[in-house]
Amino acid sequence: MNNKGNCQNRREAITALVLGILDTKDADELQRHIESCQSCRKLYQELFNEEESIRSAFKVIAERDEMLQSSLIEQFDKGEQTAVKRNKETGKTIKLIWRTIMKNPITKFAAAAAIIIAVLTVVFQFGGSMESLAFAEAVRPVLDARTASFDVALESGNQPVQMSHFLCMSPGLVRQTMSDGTINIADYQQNKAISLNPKEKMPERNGGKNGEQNRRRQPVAVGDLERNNRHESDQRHVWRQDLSFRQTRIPRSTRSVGRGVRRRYGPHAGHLRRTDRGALELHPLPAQKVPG
Amino acid sequence: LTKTESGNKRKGKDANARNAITPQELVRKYASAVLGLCIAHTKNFHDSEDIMQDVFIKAISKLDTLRDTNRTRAWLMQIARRKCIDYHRSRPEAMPISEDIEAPVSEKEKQIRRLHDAISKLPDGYREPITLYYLSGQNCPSVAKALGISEDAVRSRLVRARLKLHEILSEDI
Repeated sequence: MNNKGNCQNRREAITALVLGILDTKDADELQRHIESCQSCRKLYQELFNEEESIRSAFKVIAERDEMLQSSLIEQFDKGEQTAVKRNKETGKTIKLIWRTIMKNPITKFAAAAAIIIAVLTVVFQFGGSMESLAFAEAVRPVLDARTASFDVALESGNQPVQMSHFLCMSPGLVRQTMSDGTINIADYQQNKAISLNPKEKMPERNGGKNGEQNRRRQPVAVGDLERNNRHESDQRHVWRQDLSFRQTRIPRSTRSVGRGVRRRYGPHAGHLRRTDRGALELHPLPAQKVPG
Repeated sequence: LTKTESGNKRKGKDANARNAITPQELVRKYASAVLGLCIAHTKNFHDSEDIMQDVFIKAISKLDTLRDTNRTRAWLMQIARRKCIDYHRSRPEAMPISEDIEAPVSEKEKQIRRLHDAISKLPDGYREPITLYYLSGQNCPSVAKALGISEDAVRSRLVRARLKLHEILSEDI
């Protein structure tokens, strides 16, 4: 019974026993054999010890899975709430309108064009180099999604990182939130754009003297906005030379922490950055829109 | 069935899929299975987590395309497989770290990494059953359902996969 050939055939049965998927009758018989055969006992012991560590590792993974699940569910709940709120405000289902719009290939490309314009605006605004920008990467999400929301991080040698958040809501409608709180809204179909700065509201409330500043900002043509921005960026000519665009898609793995890693969802969503001392810091991102 | 009748029937089914399953239910029921599959197809646990979330976001936005709610699991698994393929195809190059950063890696983390490495070395047909088996709390019927194969097939693949895993882990030491 204990010859080598037979024991070689028992390897699968022993594995099944360790996994707990062997029939009771066969299991009893095999247990008896294991007690009498040294090589089978050795294999059984090795597999048994391994099994314990595998199960405990998967237990940790399962716990993290639960955390992920609750985080995802939370995001879906939030998405639903905002969708309901929006529907109440407008009295219409925006989702349906969007589906109709995005079914049309022409409007899809219009949306893509809006993104390109938005990206170009940023390029003009900060005077970055166009070659370093992956256009396909920026445009692809729009072809897949109903709305697009992305962050652009600009880094230069001595300057702090400039973060701005883009939200493209319908073809040609782009909203850009800068890190200093300035909001730029542009409608590329009507050729209008408006720039709002929350800090500039203060003198208006206190009855400031400067009439020019107090007057509510009028929408300007996109061309003017670009020209203005170009003019502004000319003044910052000195430091914009070494500006470089980071791709909107950032490596997913937290293992590959370079200058900055961004995780979009989950409990660790945020922008991971190096501090002056070299330590890594997690900066939370604004809440992401999730299809509801 | 005439063309309009079949059209109506399909519309009815479409409406069912969106009404019958809420995103939350979808996550609660199938998240473990999807994660198991993602672990089987990636070499990094964090990536599997990210892909799993991408799968659900994609699934929710494309819920209209699910015609038969009885096939939800298979449908999700297919999305997950495609997402994993996309991940390998369009994986951005990782940015190299210029200096050493000491990251506190726990024993548990090391153990998981070692196990994940070993699983990624398993042959194609063996990875999915084994990750799904352990993640579902050693439940063969649920693995069979998730993969659309018989329980006997799951058992035989599991045994072979587990033996192979033992060989890889022993070599590793």
